Amino acid sequence: MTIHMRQWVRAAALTAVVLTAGLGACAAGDNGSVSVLGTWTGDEQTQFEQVLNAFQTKYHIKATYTGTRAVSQVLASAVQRGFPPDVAVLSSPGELRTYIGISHGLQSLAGVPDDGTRGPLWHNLQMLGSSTRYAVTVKADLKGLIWYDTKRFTSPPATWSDFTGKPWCLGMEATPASGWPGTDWVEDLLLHMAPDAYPQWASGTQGWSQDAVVQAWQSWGDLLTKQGAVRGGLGTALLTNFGDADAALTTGSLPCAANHQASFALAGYATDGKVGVAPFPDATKPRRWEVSADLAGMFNDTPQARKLLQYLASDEAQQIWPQRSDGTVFSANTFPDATESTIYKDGWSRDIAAVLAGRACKDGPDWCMHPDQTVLCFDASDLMPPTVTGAFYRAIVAYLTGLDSGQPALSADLKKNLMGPLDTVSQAALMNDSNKKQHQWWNPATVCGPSSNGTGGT
Amino acid sequence: MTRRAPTRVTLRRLLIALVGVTAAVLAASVSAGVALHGTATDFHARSAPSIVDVLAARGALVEADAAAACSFATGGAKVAGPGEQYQNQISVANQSLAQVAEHNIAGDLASQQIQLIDGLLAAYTGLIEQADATYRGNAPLGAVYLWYASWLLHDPGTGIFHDLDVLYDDESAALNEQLRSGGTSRWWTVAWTVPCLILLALMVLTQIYLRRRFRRRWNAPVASATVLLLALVGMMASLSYDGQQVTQAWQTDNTAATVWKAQQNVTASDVLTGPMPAMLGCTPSTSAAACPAASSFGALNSGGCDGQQVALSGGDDLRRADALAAGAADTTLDQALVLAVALAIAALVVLGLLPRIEEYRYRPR
Repeated sequence: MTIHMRQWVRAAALTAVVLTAGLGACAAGDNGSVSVLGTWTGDEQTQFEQVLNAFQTKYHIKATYTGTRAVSQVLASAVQRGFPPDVAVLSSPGELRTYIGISHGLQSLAGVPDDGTRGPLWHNLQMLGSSTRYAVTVKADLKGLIWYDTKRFTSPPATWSDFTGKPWCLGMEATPASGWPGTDWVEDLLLHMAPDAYPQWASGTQGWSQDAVVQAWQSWGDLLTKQGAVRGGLGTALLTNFGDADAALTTGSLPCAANHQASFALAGYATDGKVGVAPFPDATKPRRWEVSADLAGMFNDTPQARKLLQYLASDEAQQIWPQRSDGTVFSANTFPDATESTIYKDGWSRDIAAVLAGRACKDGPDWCMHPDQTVLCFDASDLMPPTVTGAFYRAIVAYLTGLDSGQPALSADLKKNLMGPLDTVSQAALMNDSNKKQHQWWNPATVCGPSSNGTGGT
Repeated sequence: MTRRAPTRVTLRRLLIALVGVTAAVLAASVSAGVALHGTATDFHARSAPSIVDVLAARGALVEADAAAACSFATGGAKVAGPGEQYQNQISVANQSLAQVAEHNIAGDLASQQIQLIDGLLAAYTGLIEQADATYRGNAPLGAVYLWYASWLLHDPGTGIFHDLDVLYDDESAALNEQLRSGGTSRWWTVAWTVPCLILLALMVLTQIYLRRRFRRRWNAPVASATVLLLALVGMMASLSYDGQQVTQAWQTDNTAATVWKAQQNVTASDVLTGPMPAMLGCTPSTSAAACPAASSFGALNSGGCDGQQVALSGGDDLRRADALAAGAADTTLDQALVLAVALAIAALVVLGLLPRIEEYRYRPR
């Protein structure tokens, strides 16, 4: 080897070392960092961090996630002190929109590209009732599902009489938001008993004392106070965590027969045929479903936060979590059929994903075969201002405690003791809302709508 | 055949070696003293307070929860709400958390953890207020909110105690690292011991050489320097011992705190036989899965409302370690003494060897 060649070899080796060191530094996140606050802990946190890891690998931006069930309190405190996280994920668009226009509050996502494919319903949700996009839908859930023990039901339950003598799994404890599982019950009953009243009530244009709402509460009370209708009785239901109640469908010494729970319960049930799933009993068309979503908003307008939100909205990122969870987590984005079939492999996953995406399921049950006859409505308690949502949760707990103490679910008592105070709280919240001139906190026209029509989100 | 170095050259070499190693002894001893001072000061000013405050916050919340549960269970809540003891202990918990935030040694992750605990604590006090607000008119509803509040503390996966334990572990890990790599590290003992031993060996060799070459029993200045060196070794050993005592006291306390925390984790059976579940119709005949919340009701069962004071342990040895660290941090006099002794050693060595070197100034050997 000549001296000249040796010099070239040394130069090449040096270049390789420098490049390797540079790449290593990039991999460590030398394009900055972004902090994320959210509500997910445990397995959900692990799975969401896998999405963030993919982001970190792709853009070399370090993403640090902090999960807590007290996300509302932590975020409010951080914003008040002037040190919010770069990105926060909340399950309530109503709460997220309270941070618009305040110091260190929610920042507009104007100019952040949205490459995800999702329908106008989800697009409206991301606007948070304003004219600008403020949020990105990280994941979605289909509500109004009835999970049932197949040994206790010879066929999928379709009417309320099918549940006679079969105890419901019921758990209201979800501290610090105990009571929310009950709000899903009231919302679903109202949505199916008085579909026209639901958007008006959810948006604040009509109050709690209207007959349709009172009727929904009363129907729920009648259902729960029947002999043996609730596993362990209402006192036990009040103290039982909703996750433990979900698990009681398949395990435990005090089993139950049916569980009214959202699609996230799927993660706890094996696909061995012991558990079945059916829609909320309602034979009318179009079929209505309640849906919810976790929304990410930007609190510090940095290039890293913008890049993360752009990534979270993309079809690429939206596929990661459903894939890692074996199809038990759902996206609001619509994927091509070939992609869907690789993510959602078993029947339930495919059926639920089809309803959320507004597609006809293949070889599925009737409830997912007709997307043209399907309407999705957002979870009303998630659209309400936080003070109203909190009052709703507490009204649920108070109602069940009263029923447990033997108080009858009379319409007059309900109006006086619960609906009246809820109306007062709602009126106060409306006075403080940016939409108070319209006497609403949300546009009722965007509460419900057909699911995806396949159009782009932008 | 090897040729011996001339005496003057050997003496000069010995002098240079002795002065050089004395300088090394001085540098190593002062560095060890400075490192110990730094670690002990950090321990006294930040590390120990941060950990004591995490334990204090935890203890205060255990007491607050038990006090609130007692107030509701005995009916006192109808006039006194959750009670003065509850208010006092919540105040202690808040102040302790503020102190942890100020003294935090575990970095950003611990800061985030403190924020999470603050958020959960706000939710906890909100639930107790809700229990208080509803209890007067609707005792079962008040009891439900008390249960929710207590569960928020005790939930094994995401409760406040769990988050406080994570914070404790973060602060402990940071302290362990500080003690392992700081001035209390055994490597610092090695760092000053090795040059001292070399200097001692050189001094002995010098004495032997001088005795053979000059037919004198002792070189008094070098012997005095040796005595001073032994005194310096004693002084440094005492400092190192203090550092090790700090580490040992902390380790003892860490073990005690772990045991104490485990004692606070009541079991489902404690809960099922408590007074509140009975008020809600959740009795021992109900399955444990149906009443999963573990709470301060367990503390009530063991001590009853008369003896609701929860014995606070953990932190005693840490306070002893803190006192030791405060002593170890005060090394100004020690370092001045080390400097003086080392300079005296150097001066005595020069005083002992220079006249002998001078004797050979005009001789070939």
